[in-house]
Order: sequence, then structure tokens, then C-alpha cells
Amino acid sequence: MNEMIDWLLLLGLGAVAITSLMSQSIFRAVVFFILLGLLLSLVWIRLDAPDIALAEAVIGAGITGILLLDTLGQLKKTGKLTTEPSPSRARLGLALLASLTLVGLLIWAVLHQPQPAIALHQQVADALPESGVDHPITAVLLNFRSYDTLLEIGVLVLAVLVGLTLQSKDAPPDSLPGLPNPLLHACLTLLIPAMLLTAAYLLWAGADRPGGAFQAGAMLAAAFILLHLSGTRLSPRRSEFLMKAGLVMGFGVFLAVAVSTLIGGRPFLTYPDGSAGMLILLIELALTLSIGLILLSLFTVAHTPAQLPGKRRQDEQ
Amino acid sequence: MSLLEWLQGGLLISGALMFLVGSIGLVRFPDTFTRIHALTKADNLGLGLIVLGLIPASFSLSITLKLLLIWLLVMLASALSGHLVAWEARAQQVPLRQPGETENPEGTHE
Repeated sequence: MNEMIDWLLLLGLGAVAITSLMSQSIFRAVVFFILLGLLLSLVWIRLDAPDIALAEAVIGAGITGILLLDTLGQLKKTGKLTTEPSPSRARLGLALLASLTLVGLLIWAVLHQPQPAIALHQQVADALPESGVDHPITAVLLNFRSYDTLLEIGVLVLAVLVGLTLQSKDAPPDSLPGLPNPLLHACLTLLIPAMLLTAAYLLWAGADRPGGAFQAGAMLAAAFILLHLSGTRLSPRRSEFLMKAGLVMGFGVFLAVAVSTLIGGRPFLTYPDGSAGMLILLIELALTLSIGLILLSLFTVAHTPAQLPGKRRQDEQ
Repeated sequence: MSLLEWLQGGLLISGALMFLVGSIGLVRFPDTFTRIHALTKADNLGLGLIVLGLIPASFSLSITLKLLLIWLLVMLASALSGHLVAWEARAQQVPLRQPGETENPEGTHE
């Protein structure tokens, strides 16, 4: 029975991916891409990886889907949406060859998997009591391999800073009017508190269950974007300084905790004995807020058109 | 199989059938408004039946409350999104259609 579900998921994934790629209408392609994200999160659940499933559902299907749909709406509004002629046979063949080679290599890699020399999951399980949290994924992300997580959040901050830099100064404050729909606003007063509560729950649950800062931050971002779409502005223009402080806060707190241990003569990015759990919670709290604001900013930046290169040159002269 | 399991099976299967009916309606119905009707009504009822079928599987209070909360939130969200789609469709003056009428080449449902 379970195997049948797996095969159905696999076939569905393939069918949805091909439909998304081959679709003539871009809107249909985007919808099928979102569907692909949802199916993929089901696959992660079947692989016993609920953490990745949560992240895939919220970020892969949710936020990316919103960004794609938003871009599509923007393109339609500005009339830049053109359907390209279908690529030539040679290009298609080349792409097919490349992807088939990759698939072949991946299958080969799975079949010839070497026996792991070190039992990593065993090491994680042994060190778990000292990590400050009870969930192995959170322990790896924020304690054993926290260096990777620090760099990840650094990349996110960098991305949003680049986005903000590309924003033109004289762009209109917001090119997106809120929806004046009374039912929407009535429902938001119910939905927004529920979303904030869910974000807090996800953050708290990360200590001993699937969850954590990234999932909670993405949920927070979804609440922010919903507010933004309905006309309530949280945009950088209203309180630019606060917004920028919020964007870098997660990275800043993480870095501060990482460096502060150097004062006590301990190596970079280690936690003092006994206070690891507290510090991880502090970092995750800051990360959640920052990730929420970063994803919101990535969304709002898209609404203020970047300066055209030609125009900028004129300004410099 | 006990009586409870039969009941569960019945609820789950009828829930899945509701989803199937809703999907068929989405594909077959002629215009935006009837499609919203098919989608939201069938989904709310289908999900409700599936939630009811899943509750006896655990009999844990926290899981039961979580399942009911999911149902409630999905109902709220689908009612809201259905309303918004209909509202926007009216604003764009999407035409009503009778079954069998051909769609215009642009395809307003996209």
C-alpha cells in the first residue's frame, strides 16, 4: 500500500514537472510549479524528513509561488509578457541530453553509494544531550554545524541588501493598491493572530520536534505579505531604519553570540556549558523575525521598478 | 473489522469522493462562478469527512483539536479565497455561461 503511494507520488511529480515545463501558458506553468512544490513536500514526508517537508511547503511552494505569480502579474500589467517561440530542436535535444546525463549520474551515485566510514547519525545521537535541544535536526543546524547556518543567513541578508540597492530612489512608495474588500479585512483579523501563533509554535517546537527558525520565519513572512497585499504597509519606506535593523538583526545576534565566546577563551561558534539551549533559543528568535522581514522585503522590492541602466547613466552625468 | 473501522473507512472514502466530484466540477463547469462553487463546496465537505474519519484513529485530545482546527482554518481560507476570486471576476466583468457554450479564445478562466 505504502509502495503504491510512493509510486503514485513519483509519477505525479514527473507528470507535473513535465506539464510545467511544456506548458505554453506561463500562468499554467507557474501553477504547476507550485503544485510540484506541494507534491515534493509530500515526498519529503514519505522520506521521514518532516523538517524539509515543512520548509519545502512554506518556502518552495508558498513564498516562491507568490513571487512567481506576482512577477507574472507585474509583467501582464506592464505589457512585457511575450510568449517566446518554442526553442529549436537542437536546443531541446541538448537540454534533454544534459538532463538525462545528470539523471544517469545520480542513479549511478545512488547505486554505488559507499558505506559511510563514520556513522554520523550515531555521533549526533551521542552528542545530543550536550547540544541544548532535543531534536537532532535543530542540534545539527544550530550547534554541531552552526557555521553553515550562519553563512546561510548571511547569504539571505546579502540577497535582500542587493535587492534594496537596486531599488530606485524616486519610485512611487507602493505600486500595489490594497484590496478594499470588507470580508478580506474581517477574515484577516482572525487569520493574522492565528498565523503569528503558528509561527511562535513552530519556533518553540523546534527544540524537540520538527520546526524551527526557518519554518517560523517563513510563516511570519506569509502573514506580513498577506497584510501587505490587503493594504497594510510594513514597507521599508515607512520606517526605513527599523526595517533595516530588523533585516540584519538575526545575522547580528548570531554573530555576536558566536564571537562572544572568544572572550572566554573558547573557540569561535561554541556555546558555554549549560547555556546552549538558552542561546540557541535567543538566536532562533532573532533569526525568525529577520527571515520574516527578509522574505517580505524580497517581495516588496519587486514592486518598485529598478532604474533602467540608460537612465542611471544620465543621472551620474 | 470492527464497526468503528467500517465507519472510518466509509467517511474517508466519501471524503475522497467529494474531492473527486469537486475536481470534475472544476474541469467541467462552464464559468468562473460555478467553478468556485464546485471547488469550495466539495473541498470543505470532503476535508470535513476526512477529518471526521481520522479522529477515531487516535482518540487523543490534542490531535483531535488540531484536526478540527485545520478543518476550520481551511474552511475560512477557502471561503475567503472563493469570495475574492468571485469579487475580482465581477470587477473584471467575467461573463456568465450556460453549459455547452464555447469559451472565448482568451480563456477568462486563466
